[in-house]
Parts: sequence; C-alpha cells; structure tokens
Amino acid sequence: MGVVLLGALLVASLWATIAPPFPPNTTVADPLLGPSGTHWLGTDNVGRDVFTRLLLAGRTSLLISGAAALLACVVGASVGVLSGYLGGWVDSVLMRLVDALLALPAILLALVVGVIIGNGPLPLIVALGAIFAPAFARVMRAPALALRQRDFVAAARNSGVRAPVIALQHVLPNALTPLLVQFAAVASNVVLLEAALSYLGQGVQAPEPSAGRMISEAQRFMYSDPLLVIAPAVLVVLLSAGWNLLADGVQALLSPRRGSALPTRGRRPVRRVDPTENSPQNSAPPRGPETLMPIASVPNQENRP
Amino acid sequence: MNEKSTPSRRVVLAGAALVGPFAALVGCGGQDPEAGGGDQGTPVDGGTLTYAVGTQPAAGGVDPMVATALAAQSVMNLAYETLLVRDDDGQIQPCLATEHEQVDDLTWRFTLREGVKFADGSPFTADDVVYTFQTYLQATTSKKAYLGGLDQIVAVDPQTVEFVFDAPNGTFLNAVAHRETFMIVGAAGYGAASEDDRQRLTYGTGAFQLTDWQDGVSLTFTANENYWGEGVPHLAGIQMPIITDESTRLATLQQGSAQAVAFTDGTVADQAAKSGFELGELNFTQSLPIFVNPESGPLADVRVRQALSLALDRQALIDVAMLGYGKLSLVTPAGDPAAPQPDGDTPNYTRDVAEAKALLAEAGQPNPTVVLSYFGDVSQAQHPIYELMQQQCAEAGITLDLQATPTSELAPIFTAGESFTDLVSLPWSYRADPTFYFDPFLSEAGAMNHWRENPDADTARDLLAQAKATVDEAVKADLVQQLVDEVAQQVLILVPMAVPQNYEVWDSAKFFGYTTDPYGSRSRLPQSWVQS
Repeated sequence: MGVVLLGALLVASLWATIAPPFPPNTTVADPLLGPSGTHWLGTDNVGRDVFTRLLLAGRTSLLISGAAALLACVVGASVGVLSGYLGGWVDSVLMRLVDALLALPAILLALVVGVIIGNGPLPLIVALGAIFAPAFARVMRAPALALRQRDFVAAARNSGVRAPVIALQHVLPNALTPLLVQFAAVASNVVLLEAALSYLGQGVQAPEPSAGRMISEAQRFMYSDPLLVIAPAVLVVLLSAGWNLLADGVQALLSPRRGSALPTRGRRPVRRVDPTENSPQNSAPPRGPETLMPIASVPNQENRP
Repeated sequence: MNEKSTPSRRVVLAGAALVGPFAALVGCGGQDPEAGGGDQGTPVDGGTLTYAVGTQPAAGGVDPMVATALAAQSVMNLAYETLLVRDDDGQIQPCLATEHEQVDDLTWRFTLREGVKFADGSPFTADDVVYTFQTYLQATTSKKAYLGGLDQIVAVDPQTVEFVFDAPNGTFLNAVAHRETFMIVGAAGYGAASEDDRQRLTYGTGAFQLTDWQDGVSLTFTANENYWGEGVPHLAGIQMPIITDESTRLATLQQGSAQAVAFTDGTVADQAAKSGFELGELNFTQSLPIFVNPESGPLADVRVRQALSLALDRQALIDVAMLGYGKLSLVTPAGDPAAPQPDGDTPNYTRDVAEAKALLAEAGQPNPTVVLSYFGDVSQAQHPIYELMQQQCAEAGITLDLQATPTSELAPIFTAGESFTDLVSLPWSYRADPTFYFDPFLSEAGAMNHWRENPDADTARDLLAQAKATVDEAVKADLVQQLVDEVAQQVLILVPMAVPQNYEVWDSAKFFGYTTDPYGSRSRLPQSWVQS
C-alpha cells in the first residue's frame, strides 16, 4: 500500500516536473479562484495554480524526505555499527553523543541548524539528515552489539579482517531489516518536520512550493477558501502515511515468520522442537541468517599463521 | 538658499480660535461629535468596551520617554496628550495648548489650556511642559531628533511656555502636533513614579489611564475622572485582551466577546466586514520601503536601480498581492495628510519593461541578480508582494533572490546599522514630519544609510537639509516634493506601496460613536460608548 501511495505521488511529481499544467511560480489567473475545469484546485492568493504547486510540493517533500532519510541512514548507521562493533570507550562516547542529540527537540534543533546553514532544500536535507542520524545509530548499535559476539564475526576477526570491513560486509547486511524499517519511519517524520519548518518560514523558501508553506500562506483564507489549507494538509498526510505504510510493509515482508532470511528488529526466529535437534550436526548453536554470509571464504582459526 | 520665512502670527491664532472652543468640548479627539456617533442615538455613560488587540507594548512599556513601538503608541495615545494635534485634514489644532505662535525665527510660544488636571489630580501648568521636554532631552529616545537646536524652554507664567532655539527648526511644530511624539507628563505624578511604574502604568491628562497590565493577557484602562473634556469620556473603562492570532481575534468579535478588534491583516478584517461588522476607514500610513545598499553589487549602478523600479507594476502588486489593501505611495506614506502623492510624472514609477531592459543593457548587466531580504517570520500578509515582485522583475531580466530572514537576524540592520546585501524590506509607520521619513537612509546617523559620500544622493541630501531648516509650510512642501522626486529618480529607496497599519473593526450594534482617525491613534474612543 505504501509503495502504491508513494509511487502514485512520485508519478504525479514527475508529471509536474516534466509537463506542469501551469508555471508553478507565476500568476496565471485572478487570485483566489475556486476549483474549475481549468484550475482543478483553484488559484492561491497570488493567482498561481494550486494543483500545479501541490504536485511540485509533493516532489519537494518526497525529495527532501528521501534524501534526508538516506543521509541520516548513512551517517547514523555508520556510527551505530562502529559503536556497537568496537564497543568500549568508543561506544560510550558515541552513544552519549547520540543520547544528547536525541534529548533535543527535533524542531528546535532544525531551526538552529537552519539559522546556521541557511534555508532551502539542500540545507534542509543536511539539517534533517543530521537530526535523524542518531535514531539510526541507536537502531544499528543493538544488532551490531549482538552480531559481534557471533561465530562468523569472530571468525572474520580472528582471521585478520579489518574492523571496518567486518562492519560493512558482515554486520551491516545482517541488520538490514531494522535499517529499512527505520528508513521509512524516519522519512515519514522528515515529511512532517519539513512541513513544520516550511510553515514557520524556515524551510523551503518562496516562491518554491511546499506543503507547509502553502498551509502557512493560506491560513489567512481558511474561512473563505478552506481548500487552500485542506489540499496541502492532505498531501502531508498522504506522504507521511505513505512512508509509514512502506515501513510496515517492509517489516511484514522481511519478517522471519514470512520466511525471510533477514532478522528483524531483534526478534529471533521461533524454532520448533525438532526430533533431530540433538543430532551431531545440529549440536552447534542455532544458525541464523548469518549462514548466508560467505563464511566459507573466511579461513578458519586453525589456518591462521 | 534662505527659506526661513515666518508664518503670520495672525493666521496661526485665527486657526486656533476657530477650533479652540469646540476642542474644549470633546478633548483632543477634536472632531464634531455629530460626525461620529451623532446619528447613533444619545451617548450612554458607563460600561466597559472590550477592544481586542494583537500585541502589547514591548521594550519600554508605556513610558513615553522610552517606548516607541506601535503597540505602545496606541496605548499611550489614550493616556497622554500633546500640546497640539492634527485633524483629519492634516491641519494643526489645539490640544493642551490653546494657542501657539512663532514669535520670531527662533522662538515658539504656547498658551496652555486652563483647568486641565493630570489623572492624579495635580494641575497641568507650564512647569510640567518644561519638565516634559527637559526629560525628553535627557532621555535616550530618538524623539530628541525633533528638538535639534533647542536652546531653552521657559515657563513665562503658569499658562505660557516658550521654546527658544539657536537655529531655525522646521520640524519642531509638526513634532509637537504629532500625537505620538511629545506626550506631556507631569512632574508630580510621572516625576515621582518609579521606572517600573512608568513602564506599566500611565500618568497623563488623557481620557483613559492604564491601571492594570497583565503581561500577555490584557490591558485595563479606567476613565480619567479629572479629564478636562466636557461630558467625555462616556466609557467607564476599556478592556484590551491581547490575542495574538488574527483568526482568534476574529472569532472573539463574532462570538460577541469583544465589541471591537484591531487586525493587521486586511483579508481577516474583510471577513469580519462581510459578516456584518463595521470596518473603519482605512488609512494608508505605513509605507513599505525597501532599502538599497549601493556599496557593492549591481545596485551600485543607478541604471540597474532604475530598471528595477521600472520593472515593478505597483498597481498590480496592490491588486493581486495585497488584494487591494494598499495604495501607491512615495517614501512619505500615502495616508499621511501632509505627504505628497505619486502621479504619472513621478520618475521610474510607471512600469516600462522595455526601458528597464534598455537600461540594463546600457549598464552592461542584462541579467543581474539582486538579493531581497525580508521578515520571514512576521508580516505574512506582505510576503506575496515580494513573490510578485520577483515575477515582475524576471520579465525585465532581473533575478530577485528572495531571502526570508528571521526577525532576529534582520533587527540589527535597523537597530545597530548592520550592513545588508542589495535590498532589505523594513516597514515603517507614520512620522511627525515628512522629512523624517528620509532620515533612516539619508541622514548621517541613519541606520540604513549606505549613501554616505555617494554622489547619487548629493542632491537629495541637500534638499533634505533645506527642508528640515524651513519653517514656511508652502516652501517646505515644495522642497519635500522635490526631494521625493529626486529619491525616485535616483532610486535611493524602493517603495512598492503603503498599507494600513491597522484594520479596526467593531460591532456597530453594540459600540457607537466611534470612527477611525488617519493616524491610527484611536483618538475617538473618548467620544464613543457601548450599550449592553
């Protein structure tokens, strides 16, 4: 459902990018016209076509939410994996830093960052990426912490594979499910935060359309022209819901109960008692998805010099 | 050039004599009682008016020596009075002074009204006037600029006071007649009050006194029992709830919780008017100047500045961006009765895209990029102006780079003279004298003056200096006209339009006898009344 929703919004955004019905930032008719065959959602207070601006606002929001979540994912996951894998004082320092960032209200942090690095889509992506990176770090640290104790990681470590390589090649892929779920959840939050910042005048700048800005600009007319507020508000809801549904879908799809080979959010597969469990070949610790890893390529300890 | 002609003493006195007896009836509101509520029945004494406002006084509270914020002015106007006032036509009328005359080029004499008392019961005398102006001179207020060259203030007798200057001052009388500039305070009441009390309470001769101020909640005014106006005020008090959100203020009016509301957004006021409430006459006393920094960048070339001005369709900005709530204006706001108005001959005011492109080509900058900064977090109703300007400029090949900036970042520009890039929009309001609209960008001390030693502003500077030193009103008006034309010719500043400072709306079924005044000072409240 999330894919369908986001896909539809993406197609609409592409349409508005390639062949917009009207120039989005230009006065094309009288101000505050109601919906008509020409202007499906009417015109705003400057006489711009609301439908066109709404489509482009969707594009902006999709771009910012996707890019900011990706940035947060790369930065946060790296920190989380390193922290969990290396442990010790590195883990303590990084996690206290993450705790400190998580303690700050996201919108306040975004406003401060915005003042420092400026407004507009790119600074927004950077600011929101930085704000949500700690969430990824928290999510990734736990599986990294657990995985570092596993045999295949120990084997890699003992065979002389460097820590960053182990983290990237062995730990990260095994924590992919929570990462993907977190990505979609963060993107949903970014949609809301970007709308809030733009509503406050600190996000996407005029005359570029953004749902938050459109709500802010139309607030004065919400009694006389309620559609000007309702339409961008619905867009925000759809975008946020789309990402959330995607997160749920990813989680459901990759859940072990559906036979997925990837672990999810720390849940361990439920094992049924097997009569052959005590056989010699099953006496090793339960084998999880790590069996997918190219462990065979890692020389065992005995082969090390 | 010597323009220091002296107005006829006889003329000044005659003007005062005509209005004086009437002014004694209704106070400094000075309007015909029939004009306001005369057709709305007999005034009823007593009752409290609830008048919802959006802001409360800021720094300096309601101390006339310190406060300058608009929200403070509209409060102080109710409590403090001035020696003279201007009527709706811009003519000077008596208030606490019944007569004024210019004895010679350097001396002004005022005869004070008898029988006036401050709210605390102490009598108003010439000593209070001397105390007031000496306190202004000692205070750190920008109002002192109007007293340039003031040598001494002399209480000739209890009802007569003289101001002696050491050089002609062409702005003094206008400043004295400006309701928001030299408000008279008493040595006994105000002088004895603590600094904190002066900022939270009032000690004037006005019809209402601020007796309680709940921070962020409400302002409470009580009728001045010692008020000198006959039969006024009718109201026993005024309650001003402070409601920051425009829509909530509208709801307050619609629900009957308030009988009157002041809006800053014309569209919200229009909604109220369409619901059957009375929208007061609009007075376009707030021009929206866009200050220019020509020290670097494309605007250093006058041809680029002229192209920018020619690219603007000001009437379209008013009709579309402000939905009609604006008026063509020069630097001096269109709503100022003493200000000249733009016309077809005003340089660079009529849109001409072809000429704009030609000028840009001549300047060797066919596609300049110009930065325009404005308040991103306030004055939202004005944001469409900038967006539409951007569209209009694009047609001439100019890229207007809009920078919505937080107030905290823009404030140092007009408070501390911090520099800015290309253009910055900072609204201003009605001022006592037309020449003072030019001070921020032309006077030596002007915070937004980036024209120092720039030859493009030489003529304008000379004209400003002459106008300030000219007392003769006709000569001064001519100089001001030349000044606004020169400023428009050189595009030393851009003015898209003037807008109303406030939109006053009231329930005409409950609140009577009230009309707005051109200065937004709510000076007719003493003559108004409510009926439950």
